[in-house]
Amino acid sequence: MNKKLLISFALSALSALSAYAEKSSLIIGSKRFPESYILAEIAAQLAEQTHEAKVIKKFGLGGTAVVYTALENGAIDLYPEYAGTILEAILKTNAKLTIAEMNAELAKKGLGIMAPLGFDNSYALAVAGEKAETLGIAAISDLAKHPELKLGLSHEFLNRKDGFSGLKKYYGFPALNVSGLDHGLAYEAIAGGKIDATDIYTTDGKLKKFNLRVLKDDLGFFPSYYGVYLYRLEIKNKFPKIFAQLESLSGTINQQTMIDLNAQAELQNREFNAIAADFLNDLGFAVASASNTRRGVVKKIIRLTKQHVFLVLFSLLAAILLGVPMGIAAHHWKILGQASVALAGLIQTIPSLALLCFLIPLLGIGVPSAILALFLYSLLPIVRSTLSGLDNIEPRLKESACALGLSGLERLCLIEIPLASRAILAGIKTSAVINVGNATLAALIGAGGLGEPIITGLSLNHIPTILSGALPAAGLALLVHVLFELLDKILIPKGLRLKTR
Amino acid sequence: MITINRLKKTYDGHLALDIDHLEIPAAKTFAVIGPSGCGKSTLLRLIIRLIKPDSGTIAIAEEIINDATERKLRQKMGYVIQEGGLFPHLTALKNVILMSERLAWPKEKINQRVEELGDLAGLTSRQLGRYPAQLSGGQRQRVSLMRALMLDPPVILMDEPLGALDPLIRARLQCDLKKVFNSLKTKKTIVLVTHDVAEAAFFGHQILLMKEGRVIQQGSAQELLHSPSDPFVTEFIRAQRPPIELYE
Repeated sequence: MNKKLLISFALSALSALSAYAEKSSLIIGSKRFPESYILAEIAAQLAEQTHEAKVIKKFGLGGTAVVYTALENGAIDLYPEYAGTILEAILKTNAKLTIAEMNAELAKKGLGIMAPLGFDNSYALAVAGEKAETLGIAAISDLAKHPELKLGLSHEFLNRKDGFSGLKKYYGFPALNVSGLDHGLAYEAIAGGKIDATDIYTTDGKLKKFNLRVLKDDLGFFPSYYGVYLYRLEIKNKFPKIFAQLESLSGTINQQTMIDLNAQAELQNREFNAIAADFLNDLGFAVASASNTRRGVVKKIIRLTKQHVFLVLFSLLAAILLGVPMGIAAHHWKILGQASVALAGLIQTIPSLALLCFLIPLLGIGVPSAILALFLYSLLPIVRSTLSGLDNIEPRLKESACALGLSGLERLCLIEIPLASRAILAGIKTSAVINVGNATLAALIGAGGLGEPIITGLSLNHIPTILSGALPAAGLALLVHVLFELLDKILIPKGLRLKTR
Repeated sequence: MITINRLKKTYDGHLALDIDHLEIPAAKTFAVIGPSGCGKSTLLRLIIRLIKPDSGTIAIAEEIINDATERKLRQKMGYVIQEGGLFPHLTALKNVILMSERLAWPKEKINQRVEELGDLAGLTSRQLGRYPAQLSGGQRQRVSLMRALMLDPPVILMDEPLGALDPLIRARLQCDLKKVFNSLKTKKTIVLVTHDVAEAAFFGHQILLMKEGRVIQQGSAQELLHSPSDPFVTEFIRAQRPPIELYE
């Protein structure tokens, strides 16, 4: 009964927190790869320029599931998406629909897409430039004539319906020389002559650098993945100026432009906001150009570290406030104990991304969901250690307390909790350290924290960016460790730290 | 002082204690002996209600102990166990005064009582400032005795209080303990559980010999020695070597 009360209290506190997203704001999301960041950044800067709404960026959200759930639930208003993904993952259809047909279907969900931006980021096959030249390969059907070519294909492409298995049937290829490899290694493998061809995304920034020839899909197998902004219908009326500005981007980003923009991020390691600002200025939109100084970077890390600490502290505090009483209850009522430990254990087995997805419909994206998820993950160590700490108190000490005539509450507060303090603190410490690590995942649902540079860096394969998040996070974990060593000295009664004579 | 009627206790269907009627006299030392598993500790734990009987009643000064009266009655009994059962996170002093603080005794009264008991138990205030882990086994047992006496309860229950001590310290503590009991202004009803016949004879005005949960004989040491009610009485007493000296 008490537990229920606590949970509902915690939930209401969290949803009160989520009210920070004001009505007059436009929340823009992105997935976590460079192209999505750049397109979202372009939309954000353009929207900001109108001064019609406060623009909130929720970039780097973890995968289509998270970002789409967020859009569906109004946690974000808009994000860049691809026609093929909308058909396959959102509308779940094999039909090739026109823009108008897609909009008619999406309208049923309160969503819509704007006119295509101009590029098509589809799958394609690419062959090393010189080889293609000498063999005279220009289209996918030409591959049938050259079964000696070594195809190194990404694992995802090999397994997808709209990937290699479908392609092989569609083109009626004979047996080809195919091996699987990691997408990130494909370019180097081609450059090193280990493979001759690979699957690529057609707007990949590295295409130019590695001199690859993209083969024409002459029989039209690959579905179209042209880029569009997917949005919630209500923003059309709420922010007419922003909507008009974004619509005006239609057709401005052709294949080559997108490849260039991606290359700036992936090959030159330019910041997304700078890339977007330059692009918009070139189009004549006169946005403020971004300046990313070293001091700005430090400031950003400090801001992210603060967010990180907030996420960890808040969720840990909630877990202590509920976990310790749960452990105590579990100690006194065995069946309840087994049930609550089992429940906490069950939560622990839910993959973090899945848990975050479950929480989005409940609390939206951002801080509240992240805190709730972290809270749930940190519950088990605390409940379990409190329970075992109490269970392991010597029976004769419990009996002595009883025989003195202390009441149940007095025994708990004066004797049992102090005697279990070492175990309880150890559980809290475990949770805190786990929390510092887990909190990096908060960035996947737009809650900020040190995970932000980590996932951005991962998408760019840019080690310094990854480290700018990973090092402070590791430092925090270390700090937590040291802090708890000190807390041990303060909170564990002196008498328990002495060696018996 | 303590009246027991038709008391029965079983563990998992196995009979641990079955006493039809027992009177433990007031202001006397009552020693309970018997082989291990005879139910002597069970009897003590039933009196202070750490365990509940299957049936039967126990009355302390004519008040029956049950769920409603257990806390009040426990405060009228001091309980000392093997190795003391002191709380390791509290200093010796805190262990002693814990209950008096909970009962909101005035500070002067607490201090005065501690001083009195410290003298009695032979512990200095410096020793009382230490944690149990910093005290020797004998000192811990003295602290435990102080704790049991703190509220000046009419009843003291002792379950093998000296069992874990080495013989020399044990002998010294036996003498001190007897001195303490004799010097108390109001005489206590003391129930002492021991497996040591000599110790029982040394302390006990009366001795209760138990076997397999039942009373075999109740009487003075002389009575047990000279007019045993059962061959087991003689067998149990003779089993102790060297032959015991009897104290009055």
